[in-house]
Amino acid sequence: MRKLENSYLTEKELILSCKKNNRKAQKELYEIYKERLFLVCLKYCRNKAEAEDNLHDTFVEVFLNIKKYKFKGSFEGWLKRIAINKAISLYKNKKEINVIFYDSQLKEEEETKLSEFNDLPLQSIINAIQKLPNQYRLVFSLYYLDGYSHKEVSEKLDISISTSKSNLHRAKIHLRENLNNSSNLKKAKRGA
Amino acid sequence: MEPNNNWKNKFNNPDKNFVPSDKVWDSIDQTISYRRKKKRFVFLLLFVGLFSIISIGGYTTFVNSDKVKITNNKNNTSNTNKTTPNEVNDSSNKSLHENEKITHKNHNNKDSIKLVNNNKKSLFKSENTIGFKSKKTDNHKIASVNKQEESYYSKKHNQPITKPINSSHISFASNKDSFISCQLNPLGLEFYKFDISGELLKRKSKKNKNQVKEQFITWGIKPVAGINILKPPYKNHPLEANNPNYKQNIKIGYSYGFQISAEVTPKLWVYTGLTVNHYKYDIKNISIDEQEPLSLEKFININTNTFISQQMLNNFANGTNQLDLQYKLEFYEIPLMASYNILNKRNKKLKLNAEAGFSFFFQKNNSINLTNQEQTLPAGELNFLNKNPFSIQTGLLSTYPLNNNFSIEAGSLFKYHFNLLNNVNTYSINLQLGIKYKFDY
Repeated sequence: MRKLENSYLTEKELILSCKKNNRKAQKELYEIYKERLFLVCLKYCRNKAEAEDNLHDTFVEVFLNIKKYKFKGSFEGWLKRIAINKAISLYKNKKEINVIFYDSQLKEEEETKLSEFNDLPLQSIINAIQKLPNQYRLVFSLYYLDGYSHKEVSEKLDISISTSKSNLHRAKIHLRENLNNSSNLKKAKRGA
Repeated sequence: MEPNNNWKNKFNNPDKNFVPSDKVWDSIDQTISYRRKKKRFVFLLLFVGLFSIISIGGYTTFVNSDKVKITNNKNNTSNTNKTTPNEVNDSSNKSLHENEKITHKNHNNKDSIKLVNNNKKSLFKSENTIGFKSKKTDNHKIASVNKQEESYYSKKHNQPITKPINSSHISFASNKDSFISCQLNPLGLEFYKFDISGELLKRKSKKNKNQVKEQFITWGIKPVAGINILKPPYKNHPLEANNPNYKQNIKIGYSYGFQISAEVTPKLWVYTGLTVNHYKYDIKNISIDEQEPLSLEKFININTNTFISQQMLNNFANGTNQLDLQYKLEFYEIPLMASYNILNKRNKKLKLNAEAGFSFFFQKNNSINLTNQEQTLPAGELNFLNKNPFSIQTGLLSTYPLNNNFSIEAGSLFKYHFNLLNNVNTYSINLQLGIKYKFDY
């Protein structure tokens, strides 16, 4: 049985208490998972405020539906799936018109690797991801950060597999630009 | 998947630098408490509704019908003890003239009186008194078993004349006679008069109705149309988020559809159906800056249509500094309602019913248009509209029969909507008119 950090209860005991609508157990569960889920929300949302809203909706959904969790599969995975689905439902239909404007500046044939930014602090990466247009951000986070296949991404977002691939490619180009800009800005600040 | 995805690891490890603010938990706690309260409230209402329907139905079916119980006594001459004092046997239109006699029976130290004819039919009324008004003599005849004596209530003398009981004296009564029950109280004798033919007819029609019910169910079908008066949205209501010139106005929508009803008892009907509800909000005179390109992002709570390009927006906004926003919302409604007759005066045709029940809604249309004086642009849809809201409702329905099959029905319902908009409850008043066609099947 998995023993939780900062808790006298095992994960199963805590979940069972939450199933009985025990408020203390709910609060404890929130405290344990809030950071991990908040990171999930941050990479799918446009800013901190929207990520907090998404976290709120996620935990409300979790506590109202925790009776449906039958201890099959990882609980954390179940929580993350709910958080991701909540974020997707928030942005799925909110396609931005300025996507067209960005597209004209892209060089699609350019090969994009992000490994050169591996050493950047997480805050910079999150900021760059949050600047992406909604659909690019969703595709990028689902595929690149959460390990979904293009087929799964296309099903989740109601888009074709080729659209998912092209969105990922463009998202990476945007990210490179954003990350380069922010690192240049930092260098300039240091120089000054 | 990309090899050596270092970013993935960064996101999978909790980081103390990224913590949500404390208000998130407070908000979660509040929302969950509110949802639980709401859930309990809905269950309570459903329970109260079901309890009311069962109580009313049960009362109508069992208690009312017990007052007058119609039985076939052809074979119960030897079973007189089984009959109840209040039991009335319908001898149809046959006269009770012939060979009727009053007999007295002692059971459980209580006396009762029974009027018997040759066909073994009996007519009871009171436990210890029974009486007839003779048309020939215009006298009331009363038999009182407790006193073992017979009383004539004489109009001439304006007082009861009592003599020892003799059943043969009061054995004649036809359905033209009156049937009198009397009660002795400290102020004297109190008479309750019933017209025998009227009583017989009433009971016959009830019996016939019961017989019909065994074979048929009475159904009704009703096309309806009506208007929905919505609670005016308050100032910070999500629907008013884009309105710079808020004024509290009543919003009116309309509805149409049909209802199918079935008779449970003569007083209680249940119905369902399908109605289409239209709600329209117009937000007028939104100012736009002619110098800046129009952007749909300026509008709150809208999922914008992806096919609207900046060029289309520029063309739309060209030469205008004001525009209107039109919300068009449509729902299918399936009601589950009970309607109980509360007022039905004999000589008046108009009936009044109390109604209660609930409705399920299914979103049919959710669209928002931008309009100026010349053109309309489909902007998108509301992003906080609940696709399957639910309402409970109660109201009154008046019915006026045109003939045996058709009636005009007009009613009003107060509907309380749960989650019509996400986490926003509201109410509406529905006024509707319809023509009901009744048939047995």
